[in-house]
Amino acid sequence: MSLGEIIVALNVRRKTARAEVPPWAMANGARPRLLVIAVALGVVAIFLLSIGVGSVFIPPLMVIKTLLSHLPFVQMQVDAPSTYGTILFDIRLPRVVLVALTGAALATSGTAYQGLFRNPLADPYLIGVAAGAGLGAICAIALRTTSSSSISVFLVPLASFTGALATVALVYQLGRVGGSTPTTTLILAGVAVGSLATALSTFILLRLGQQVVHVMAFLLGGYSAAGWEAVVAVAPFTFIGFVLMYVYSRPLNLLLFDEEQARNLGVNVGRVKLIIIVAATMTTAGAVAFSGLIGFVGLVVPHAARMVIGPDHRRLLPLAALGGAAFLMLADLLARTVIAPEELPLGVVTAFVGAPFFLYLLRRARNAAFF
Amino acid sequence: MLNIEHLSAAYGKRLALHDICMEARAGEVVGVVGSNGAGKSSLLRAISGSLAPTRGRVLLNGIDLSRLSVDVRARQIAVVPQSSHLPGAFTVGEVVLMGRTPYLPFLGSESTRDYEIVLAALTRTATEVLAERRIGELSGGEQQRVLIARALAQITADTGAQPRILLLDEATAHLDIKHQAAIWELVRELARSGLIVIAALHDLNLAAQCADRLALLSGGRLLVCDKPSQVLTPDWLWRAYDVSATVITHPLYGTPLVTLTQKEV
Repeated sequence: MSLGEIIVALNVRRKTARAEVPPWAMANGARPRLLVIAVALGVVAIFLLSIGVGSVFIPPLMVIKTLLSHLPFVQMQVDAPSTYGTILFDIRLPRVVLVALTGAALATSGTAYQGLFRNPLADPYLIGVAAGAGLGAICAIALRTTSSSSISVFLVPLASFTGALATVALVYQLGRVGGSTPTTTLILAGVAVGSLATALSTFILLRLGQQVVHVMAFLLGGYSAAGWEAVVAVAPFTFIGFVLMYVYSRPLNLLLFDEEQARNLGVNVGRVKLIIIVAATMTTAGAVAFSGLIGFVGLVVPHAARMVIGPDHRRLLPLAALGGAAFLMLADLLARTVIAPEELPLGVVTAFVGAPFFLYLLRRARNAAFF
Repeated sequence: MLNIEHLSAAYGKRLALHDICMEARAGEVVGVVGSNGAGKSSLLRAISGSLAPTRGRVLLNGIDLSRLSVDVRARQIAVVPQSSHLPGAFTVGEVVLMGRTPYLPFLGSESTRDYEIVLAALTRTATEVLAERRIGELSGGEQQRVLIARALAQITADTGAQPRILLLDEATAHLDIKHQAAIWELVRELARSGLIVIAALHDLNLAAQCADRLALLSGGRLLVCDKPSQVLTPDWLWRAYDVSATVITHPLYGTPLVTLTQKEV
């Protein structure tokens, strides 16, 4: 069978398996698949640029060659300095991958929280989850720096997840009124519990005395220090969380109505809410474990994606993931280059870029529906 | 056949429904009337499963509805809500397609049959011209017709002819008389094709014309459930609404026509 025949056969199979989607079923964002592919290509381009730029500039083509030559089963001679391999693999690649993961995680969990709570302002920071995750991470890092016994890096995202989950459980309980959880009380409880968690974090940092420098350095510059270990520690949280959110993206669409309508349409509301909350919390926890406070990603990226592709979470979540990765990689690129060799904290850059962009979105969206 | 047996329900400690017994047959439209807070919406919510009964049960074709899982129940009962929160960026087509949710397999996508059913529902409610519009751009009346189309798509069975339930909670309250008439004509036609229709209504004269029987509620209790001419009498209206009413017979249809008796000046 020739390649052409295989492609024809595959196409026939796909046509029979999938129904033709009528235009009215996806009029928001006329060509979603094409758009997602275009954004994905953009992400790859930013990624290549991102790992090329630094104290030693490596042109994108050379980056591709060097990366390919390190793949297993690829025999390729590269006429590049051998140091390129080390720079790329040991220093830049883990940092950029972690930044991309963090951006995708913050954007997707923001998307999910906004949909779930039917509130355009909901993001991991507003409902206190990020603060809880931060508290967990700080406890773990503080233990790591102060105690003589070494605690594994892998404990940081775990502690962060525990903190985040505890916060969500507490916020959810406090926000309950009778049998339901209204959005307003949920967010009020989130702001209160989040403030408490932030206060506790500050208290712990202050009690550390001299050691605080190390913890702060880890929190702000965690990316450069952490290496592949951090990537491996964070990736499962982000990945599992994203898959869960994606699997439940259709019921999440129905929750954009109200809970009673969703239930009447056959959605097991309690279960879906719980799964989405746990999934979004996992993703947030993974992101916060090594990044400290990075605002605006979970707010700006979902809204921008919604404007481009519409409110359907089945298309929105993948686009938000790609957009979040691209946005944070670009922000990180700026953070590294603007005052090189010094570095800006990533959160400062995202706020500088994110706040005006968010205001622009708000002006554009003034007359349009958010969801 | 829908049987409501000794149904009581409460919001916390406040009793909303008290010992309600009634039934509805396939092919008929039962109107639920009563003053504000009499329990009209609560009765519909108890039937749809959103309000758990404290006593009694609701049987559809002999099956206790509270024993069914959420998605199985959603294939039997569709609800057109009173006034609802609509995520305005979805298109009309997408919203009506959501009515097919209880039929879709986990992780599966809509089939050609689902699209056909949705298209039929759009056509029947005269909303197919709106299919690509965003729902947030529509008028209140148009939105209501879209929600009825969604309910229609929801209770269109793949196979089997067991009667299903359509619940309407003040479904035409925001519509002008032309669209109101069109919707009720459609609802009656749906009932004739074998549905059980239960509709909460404010407008007594509309209820008299559209419903085959009326259930009159007061303070969470069922006062009477009978033909409109038997329910809309000055005596019952006095008991349910605490008003003096004059009831005349409609010159064309013979249905009761309710007007308030003016106080002596």
